[in-house]
Amino acid sequence: MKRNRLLLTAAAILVAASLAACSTPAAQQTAKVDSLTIFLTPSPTEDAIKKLLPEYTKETGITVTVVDAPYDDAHQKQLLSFKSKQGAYDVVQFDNPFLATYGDQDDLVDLTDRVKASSKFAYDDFVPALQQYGVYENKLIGLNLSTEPFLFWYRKDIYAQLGLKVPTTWDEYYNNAKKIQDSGKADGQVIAFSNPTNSWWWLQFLWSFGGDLTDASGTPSVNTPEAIAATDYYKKLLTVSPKSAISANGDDATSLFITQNVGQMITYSGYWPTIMDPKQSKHVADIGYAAIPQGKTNIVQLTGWNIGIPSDSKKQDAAWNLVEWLVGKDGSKSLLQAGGAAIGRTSMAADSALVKDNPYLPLLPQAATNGRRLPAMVAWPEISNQIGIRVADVMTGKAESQTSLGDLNTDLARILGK
Amino acid sequence: MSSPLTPPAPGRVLTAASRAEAHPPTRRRRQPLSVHATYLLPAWLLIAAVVVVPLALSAWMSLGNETMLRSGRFIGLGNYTNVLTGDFWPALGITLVFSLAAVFVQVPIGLALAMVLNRELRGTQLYRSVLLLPMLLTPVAVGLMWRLMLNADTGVINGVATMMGIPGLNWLGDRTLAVVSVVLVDAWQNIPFVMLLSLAGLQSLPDAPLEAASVDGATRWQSFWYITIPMLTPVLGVVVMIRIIESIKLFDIIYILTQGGPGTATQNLSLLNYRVGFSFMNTSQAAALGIIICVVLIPVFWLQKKVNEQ
Repeated sequence: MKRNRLLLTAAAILVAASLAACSTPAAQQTAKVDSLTIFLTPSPTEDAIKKLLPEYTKETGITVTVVDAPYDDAHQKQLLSFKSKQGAYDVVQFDNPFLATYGDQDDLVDLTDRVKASSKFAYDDFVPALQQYGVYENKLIGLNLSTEPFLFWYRKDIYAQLGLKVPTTWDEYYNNAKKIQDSGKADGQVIAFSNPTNSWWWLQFLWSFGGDLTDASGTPSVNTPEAIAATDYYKKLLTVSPKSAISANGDDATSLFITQNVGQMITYSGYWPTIMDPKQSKHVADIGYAAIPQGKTNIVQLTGWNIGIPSDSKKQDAAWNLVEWLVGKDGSKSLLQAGGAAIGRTSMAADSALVKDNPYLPLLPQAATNGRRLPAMVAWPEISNQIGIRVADVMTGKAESQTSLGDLNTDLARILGK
Repeated sequence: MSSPLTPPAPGRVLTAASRAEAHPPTRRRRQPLSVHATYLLPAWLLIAAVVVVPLALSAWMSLGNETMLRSGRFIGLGNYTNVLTGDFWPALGITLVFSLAAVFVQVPIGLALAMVLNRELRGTQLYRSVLLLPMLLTPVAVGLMWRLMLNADTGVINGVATMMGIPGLNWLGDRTLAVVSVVLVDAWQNIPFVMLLSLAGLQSLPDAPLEAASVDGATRWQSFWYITIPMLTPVLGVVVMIRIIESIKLFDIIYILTQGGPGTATQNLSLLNYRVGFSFMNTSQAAALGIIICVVLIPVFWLQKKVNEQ
């Protein structure tokens, strides 16, 4: 009797040891996953994802825990998590300028193969510029979670009263703003002028006027005649803006447009849910939109959230399943209908039911065709900050464009030379 | 033979034995040094863990080129050179402006309010409670609230000014007014703190010197200047030191109100350090800046020590 018990115990130990030996990471991958953690950043997209997640849990039985942090802290938190390699997050929402930071460290999984093999995702549903939006050094590490090019927004009622036409060039844009300002009916226009976010708007003008941060050899080139012309134009716009525009970031500028009397604005399409929300916007019925005017080039700044899978996630298959569900061809529609910013899928722009509720959708692939994302550089946060400071110096009259851009050129050489 | 309680006869040398005889052992026997050290050890270990070790690690990190993305190597004093040739000096200048403003705006007003409240007039309790409210709010909430109020187009301050026929100012968009705005908001939140400590100090002062001065015909101003202020100096010294240190650390209000702008008009050392460390992810350079800030604070701590000694 005693001997039998001993044999049974030994057998149990052997079985347990064999099972333990089998539990390699590969086995863990295929093991049933019952929970995932997604890191989101406060935005209409986050709200939409939160609305949809219970449905995902119902379909798959997988519980998704949402972790979030304000924009200013989000990327640092993600970086620290990636560095610790504990697999704290299975899916992350991040802003496109951090593509280089994450890509440089291989913090995110290359999704190229998964995307191309997935009919549910439909990679061909994006124009080439959007297919490349999350690519860093030939690796697709971020999928489009929103597509937010700059759009031109205007007050149809004011335009009608003054007999103005939608501008197609930057000269026309300024002239319209001047006429509106001079009429006394409203302020001419609004954009973000405060640093550091002013760097994003200024960059649009730099590109439109034919300038760039660096030349073909990578040498800083922000003291060129094109850059000076762009900066002078940017300053000229300040004269036809509300007084507080100089201290306005993107949110403030949008808030001025939807709550005060302002004739026109350049801002990202991602603000659509806010601008068209009757609870927040006073002028919903009078707001029109169009592609932004052109200068020497027809470049449109393209921004938008990315979504990716951290390399240290221990549940990458399940994480991919969630990503595919959220931003696949069907998921993208659900996300939009739940109040998220639109993803620029060609099929969505052609979907009459969707376009009826979101008439700006056809503009997204169109704008993205000429789209250019913010520079994918690890040093972008520092560059952006320095642009913001030097441009603000011009706006506040501390320095002339030429002097300030000369200083900026020196700053960029120092930062890029590190 | 003298009893244990009587002093030794003059000229008698106290030996160990005679000392023991004179003062028999009691429970208060002096503990050896090792026992004291044992008791103090946990506290010292804690201080070492949360202050000394991080400071030493920061000093070491400041000599390398580590970023939030990658570990670095030893580069000597390169970070210090970079910091001192960058935005450091303007940030130090604006930090000093905020510190001086904290002292010369907040302390006189806080003291004046304390003097008024110390007179126990009708409604003093209510006024005291109301005046303390700003101190209870978090700096972030204060920053957000004032950001709305100071908005040049939609803010209540310009709204009221316009109603009175005064042209509104661009509080957050003008380089000088942005500095003034930060000073005012910081003062609004921290004057109650100065007031509270000054009031506590005033209430602890003895009445006799003031009564004597009154009998001798001193005016109110003379009593205040020659009696109250000197007696209150230790309290005011502590208040000034705390406000200087707090103003050097000032971050939340500036971050919410102006983000250091326009340009770098309101960027102080704390905000610069945050940017270098967390926005640019340059941890070694941020460590160097942190060490420099510590060095900048040394005279303040020295001054505080001197005040405490007095």
